Amino acid sequence: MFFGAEADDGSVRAPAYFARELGEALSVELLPFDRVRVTFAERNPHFLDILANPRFTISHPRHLMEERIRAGEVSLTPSDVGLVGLGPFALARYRRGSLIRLERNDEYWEREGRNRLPYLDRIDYVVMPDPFAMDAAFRSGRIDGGARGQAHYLSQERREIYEAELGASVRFLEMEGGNFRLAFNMLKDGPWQDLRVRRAIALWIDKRAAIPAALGGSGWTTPDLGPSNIPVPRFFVNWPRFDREPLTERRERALELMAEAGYADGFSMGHLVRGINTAPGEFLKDQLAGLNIDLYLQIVDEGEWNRARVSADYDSQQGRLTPSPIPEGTESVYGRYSSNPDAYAKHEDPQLDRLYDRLRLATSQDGRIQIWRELERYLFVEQTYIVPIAESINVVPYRSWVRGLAVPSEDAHTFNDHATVWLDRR
Amino acid sequence: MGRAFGHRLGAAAIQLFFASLLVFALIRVLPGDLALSILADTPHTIETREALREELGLNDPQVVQYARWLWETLTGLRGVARSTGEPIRALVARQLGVTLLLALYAVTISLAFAIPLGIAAAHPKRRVLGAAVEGVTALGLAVPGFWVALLLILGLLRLFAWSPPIIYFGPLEFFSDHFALMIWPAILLAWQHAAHLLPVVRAETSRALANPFTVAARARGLSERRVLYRHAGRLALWPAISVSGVQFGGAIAGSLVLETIFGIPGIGRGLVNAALARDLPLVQTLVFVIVAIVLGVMLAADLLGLMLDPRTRYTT
Amino acid sequence: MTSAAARPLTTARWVVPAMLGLVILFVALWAAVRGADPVEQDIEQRLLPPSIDYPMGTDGFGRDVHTRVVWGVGYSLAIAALTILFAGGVGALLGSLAAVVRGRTEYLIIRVADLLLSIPSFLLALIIVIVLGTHPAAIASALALGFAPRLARSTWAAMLTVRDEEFVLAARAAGVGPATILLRHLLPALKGTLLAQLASIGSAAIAMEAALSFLGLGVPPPTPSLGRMLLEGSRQYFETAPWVTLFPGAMLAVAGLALVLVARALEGRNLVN
Repeated sequence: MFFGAEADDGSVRAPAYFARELGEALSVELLPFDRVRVTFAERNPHFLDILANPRFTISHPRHLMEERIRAGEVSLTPSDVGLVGLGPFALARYRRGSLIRLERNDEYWEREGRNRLPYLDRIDYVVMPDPFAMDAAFRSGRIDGGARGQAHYLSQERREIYEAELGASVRFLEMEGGNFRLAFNMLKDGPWQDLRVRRAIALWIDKRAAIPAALGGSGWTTPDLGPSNIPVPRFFVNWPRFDREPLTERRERALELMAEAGYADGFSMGHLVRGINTAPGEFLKDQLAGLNIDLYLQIVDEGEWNRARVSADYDSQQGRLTPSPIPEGTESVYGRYSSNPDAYAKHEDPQLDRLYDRLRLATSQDGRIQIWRELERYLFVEQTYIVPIAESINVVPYRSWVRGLAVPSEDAHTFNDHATVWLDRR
Repeated sequence: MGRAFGHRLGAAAIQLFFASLLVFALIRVLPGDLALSILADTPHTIETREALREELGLNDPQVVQYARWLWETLTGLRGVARSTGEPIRALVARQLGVTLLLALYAVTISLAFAIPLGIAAAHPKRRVLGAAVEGVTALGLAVPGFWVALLLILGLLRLFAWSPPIIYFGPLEFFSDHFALMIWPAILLAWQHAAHLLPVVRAETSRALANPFTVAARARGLSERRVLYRHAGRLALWPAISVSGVQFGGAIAGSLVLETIFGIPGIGRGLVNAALARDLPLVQTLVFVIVAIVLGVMLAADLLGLMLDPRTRYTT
Repeated sequence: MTSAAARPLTTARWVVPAMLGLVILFVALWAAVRGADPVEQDIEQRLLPPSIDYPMGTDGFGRDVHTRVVWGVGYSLAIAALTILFAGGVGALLGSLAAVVRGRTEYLIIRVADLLLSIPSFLLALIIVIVLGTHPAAIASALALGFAPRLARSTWAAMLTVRDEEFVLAARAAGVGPATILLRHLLPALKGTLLAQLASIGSAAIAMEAALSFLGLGVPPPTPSLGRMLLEGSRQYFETAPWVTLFPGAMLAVAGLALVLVARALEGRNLVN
């Protein structure tokens, strides 16, 4: 078992996203009754939790995908090879760009069981590029559920209109949206190399204001680690245990630090901004202007953003919105850049390696929590490689007669199969 | 007349050829690697990118690339859209008809209103109507269509708790939904289109009214109304159709944003999506198709003119 | 039409655009007097309705809509001016050049203009913005390229009617160079049509820039741009805070309308000539 992509010439193309967390597998055995035994070189109690991360695309079937992966398409997904499953619904009609119609699949395996799933006869997924048109369609009763997507998630204001107009006949699905943060590129020269400057920035930002301004009004301030809706790691969610002084005090201190570091007149710093959502970048620009920092926004399209955020080209960025269910899964975004290209802050601090190793080898829940707190403090306060700002909640409206919909427990990247959904109309 | 038409057809074909060259050149001017732009949103290896470059033929000289693209496009729109994986022929087939229908509705509504209105407003006694027509024209040119579209959707929702259908159906599939969806952007486009037609119709009719033969017709005792519509107004028909043909491209361009707002899967929206996804080869082909259509319409308008107005037969 | 009947009409045509111009001026001066910052955020004051402190309310970031709208109109007018300059400069110049120099140059210029005209101007602008990026100069160039051919063609067509006039032939006979003929004799004769065309190009440029911004291809934030304000406002605050969208939309219409009416007024005067 190998976590990465191998080429035909024997060289390793790319480490898998969670290579370090997945550990070293010594052997894989197939056991009777559809079971698999994987033996690891070291303790690896969170292997399944890592695998459960919604960012994983599992490659299957092998005969359709292996060849292309070896040829270099390292992010091939099952849908790229035209895989169609035998789920609760079958594709009945596909009009590209406007409609995807699913109808109940009579061959679905759960049809025989106690519940006789699925209940719905048909689902129409309608493509509506304009969010306002979607609002109009929902409120006039043409659609029963809203869309996922940055611009389509309801802001607090839109939600209030829905509530005012539809009252009890609408309910809102709230899903983990991901964290908003400012991460520094420690591999690039600049004033942010000085810890005092980074601390000043962390103290200055008005995190509460980010929620209405940049995140659509639904969210909470947190240093990190969501999501809120999975049952187990509630105690990992660390309500701001640091930098909790009132904003005015924090800002005074920030100004002092900037002066100490010799940057009372400020400086200029670049910031990578994703074109489809510029609000967080605009918010940060205005915030940092208070410290005389000119945060110049480098707005790029999706293609460039995907390349840029894993490169060391930009002074600072926000990283991709990805929460992790467990702390062990965060090394891919908080760890060292050389082993984790997706890291938000591009640093090479070996202390993070040591902390994550200790975390992995912790033998008790209390131990895990304690090491995690230490790691958070190191990362967000002592070194301030990253300034966590706030966590967003993505809101999708549904009519109240749509019942049985499961809220995805990880985040909005997760699909739901609608097999358990029924309509409760009178 | 066949000769005049043949002449124009030849000219249009040459124009189309040069337009294709222009579009190709504009897009290839892009600094940077086309393959990188296409692959950028997935982590990939250098080998994959090189393989893509080979596949797209990017390592060949520009002339060869142009020739190959033109040949592929002219012989049935072969090729695959890189950003979506759909064959271009299928993409154009499903999108083009929709936009053409929309443009057709817009032009029809526009002509149906602008011609009688423009003729009526040309009468020197109709000051108020004249001013009203001026106002409508000015607003049609100045106010952005997408803005009015948003207000329209909002208005329909708040006043009638109604919104246009969300799924596009063809006119033969489900006419009432088709109509209920298309009528709104059609009206908006018709208004913009009419803004170009009205001044022309009005000016031509006024000019005809001052013409000696109109005066003669009046002297013969024909009613004002008859003189206005049947004698003077008729002379405005050909210029109106000519302008309509020329502005057809504007109607298609206007549909770009409206299709996105109303959720109409036309070629305008396809082009916007291709542009935003930086799928430049697709943009190239779609623009070529649109230009071909626009030139075709202008040619058709010319032909119609040749039949309607004998005066144009001898102009080159 | 006799000139006596036409003259009162032409003066009347300037009334409305003048009023619209005054509206814009008034709004702009008021903003200058207030001296608010168009990009400064004040989250506590977000989405406030119009009041004494905020004549047009505040947007989602607490920015003053009035100042942003004025800057946005300024930006739109600047784009219009740049477009007029580029399109007018290049288009009118090439058109008159074609008319004066004749021969192969004339043929080439007119053919190229026709070629560019066969591509709808918005599409041309779209392609160029995709290729060149979204800075104001690129957007203005894109729009200018969409309009220059039309201007070149109409300048050329207008020149055709006068280039064989007696006074031109006389000047040529006297040995006056083509450049002088152009500047001294031909262009002034066509001033009316030319200015009218430029004004209508200006209004079309404003509308097109707004459409590009609405598609996300306009000048990047936080620079105020009316099209972008319409985009952001209509997505999130359309009904809760209608002023965020209504004022930019209204000012966009006012600016565009003013230019359209100026063009019509100029045309009206030309009919008299």
